[in-house]
Amino acid sequence: MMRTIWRERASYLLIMPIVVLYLVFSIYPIINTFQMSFYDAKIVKLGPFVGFKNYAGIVSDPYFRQAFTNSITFTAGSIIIILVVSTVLSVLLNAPTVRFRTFFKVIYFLPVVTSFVATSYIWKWMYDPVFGVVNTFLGLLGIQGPEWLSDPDIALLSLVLVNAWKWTGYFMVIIMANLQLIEPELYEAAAIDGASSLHQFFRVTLPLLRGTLGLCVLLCIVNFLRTFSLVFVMTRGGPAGATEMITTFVYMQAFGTGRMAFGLSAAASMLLFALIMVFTLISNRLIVRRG
Amino acid sequence: MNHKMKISRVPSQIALYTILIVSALVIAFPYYWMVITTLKPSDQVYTSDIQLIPKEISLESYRVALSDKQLPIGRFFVNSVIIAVGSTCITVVTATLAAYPLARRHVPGGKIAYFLIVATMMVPGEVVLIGIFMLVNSLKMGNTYQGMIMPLSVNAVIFLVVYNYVTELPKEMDEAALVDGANIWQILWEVIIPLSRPAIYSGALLSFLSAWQNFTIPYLVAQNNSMYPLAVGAILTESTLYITMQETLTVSTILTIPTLLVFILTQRFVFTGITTGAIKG
Repeated sequence: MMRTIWRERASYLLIMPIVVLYLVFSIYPIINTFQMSFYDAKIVKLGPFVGFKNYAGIVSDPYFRQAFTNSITFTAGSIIIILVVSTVLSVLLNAPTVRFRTFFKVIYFLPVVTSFVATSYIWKWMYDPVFGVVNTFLGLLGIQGPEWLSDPDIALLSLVLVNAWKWTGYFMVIIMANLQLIEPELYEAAAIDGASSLHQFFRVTLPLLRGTLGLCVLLCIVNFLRTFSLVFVMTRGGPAGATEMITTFVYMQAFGTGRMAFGLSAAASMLLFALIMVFTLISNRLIVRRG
Repeated sequence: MNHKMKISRVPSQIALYTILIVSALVIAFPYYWMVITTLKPSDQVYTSDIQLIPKEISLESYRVALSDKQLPIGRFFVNSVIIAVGSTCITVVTATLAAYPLARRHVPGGKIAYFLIVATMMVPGEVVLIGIFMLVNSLKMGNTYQGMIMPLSVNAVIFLVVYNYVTELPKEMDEAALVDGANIWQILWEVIIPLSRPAIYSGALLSFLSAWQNFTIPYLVAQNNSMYPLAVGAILTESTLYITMQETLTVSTILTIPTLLVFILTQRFVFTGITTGAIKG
């Protein structure tokens, strides 16, 4: 054992930079946050140890509970829309007769490489109740458009739609790559059995994509629960907390409104982390079992 | 038979292209609308009479935005480049160095290192906002480039892109070199890195694109105009007096164009990066 370690000393030298970097700038901050969540921390001062008081504080705070529910609703809503749309688009785009495939793929992917800040401003402008182009289009169809961002019943949905616009192309690319791994013989066999294309989709494509879709759900969860700039730019959590997320709650407790409640903020961060971890482990388990 | 099939295909082909084209329009229209809004004379922006095709094109909003003293866009742009390029270099170099020993050699403890790297995917910057804020300040990196670059360099997806690629390389290549008596540095430098070039390009692109877009870390670390990147500069337009939505969109356009261009020119590498990173991710 010691001899292998000595023989591999150069390997350790190669692995060290990434391990040190990730330990310092990702693992240490979470440990630090974890510690802070048990203190009445204000700005950089740790303050007195308060046990679980911060956790009790946020769990009983109706505003935090709303943020918690909103984060989950936002994530679940986004997952449903995005995975349905991206699966349909990738199956269609993968049809052997389609031309200009790369062109479509590139177009669908553009939002993925567009900053969330720019995305948010574009959509804020398009959602505008007076000058917004979305309601103008709806008006042409004879529909009275809602106040997308200032109606508390609609605002969260409006953000989900923007999130779907931003991410669909990303998941479409992943699903398409896995579609191309499916043996064409399977479709030929199904076609000989007289299965229609719709039938083939549900009997062949979808079952074989289960592992891939599981992975997509996992990536969705990690990426959507962390959504911050979209909400921060478009609504700041408003109207009346209707779009407050755990991330914006964390930010506001620490840096907004001069409260500097770092302890509370840390506790909320840890709950977010726990949420991500639980969902990751569950979907990981499901993927492993299936695939 | 063949002829009949072709005829029956026509309506479904029409339906197929209709869906694809309508989706493409939904995706592309917001870009068109953003750019068109910035190119209109300002008195034609704030009107409920919406012109899908502007009657008049004007570069006025760019002239105003670029000459605005409160909003040094050139500086923001340079900062974005420094931050994105800096973190790309660190991410790609650290990932490439570690990928070979972790993917190929029997290193005691290698599994732990791998797990640690991949586990950071569950701790994105948004989850540890204050942890990073405290760390950066205690390292005296507040309002510095390194304070933004280092946290942005943690990107396990890039590691996975290179790692998964190295795992798939034919074993004979590096084993032959090993038999010939090459040492680990020679194998890395002369065999692994040249063969992994596509993955390294993909990783570099993905890393650049994600660092350029990032808002949270720079917003947390940078404290004044001389350090803000474009993503943060764009949001400052809101808190600055007299700046209109048109100017905000002008900055957004300047923020958006570079990544779109980089992506369109290199789309092949970006797509392979996305898929190799997601295989085992």
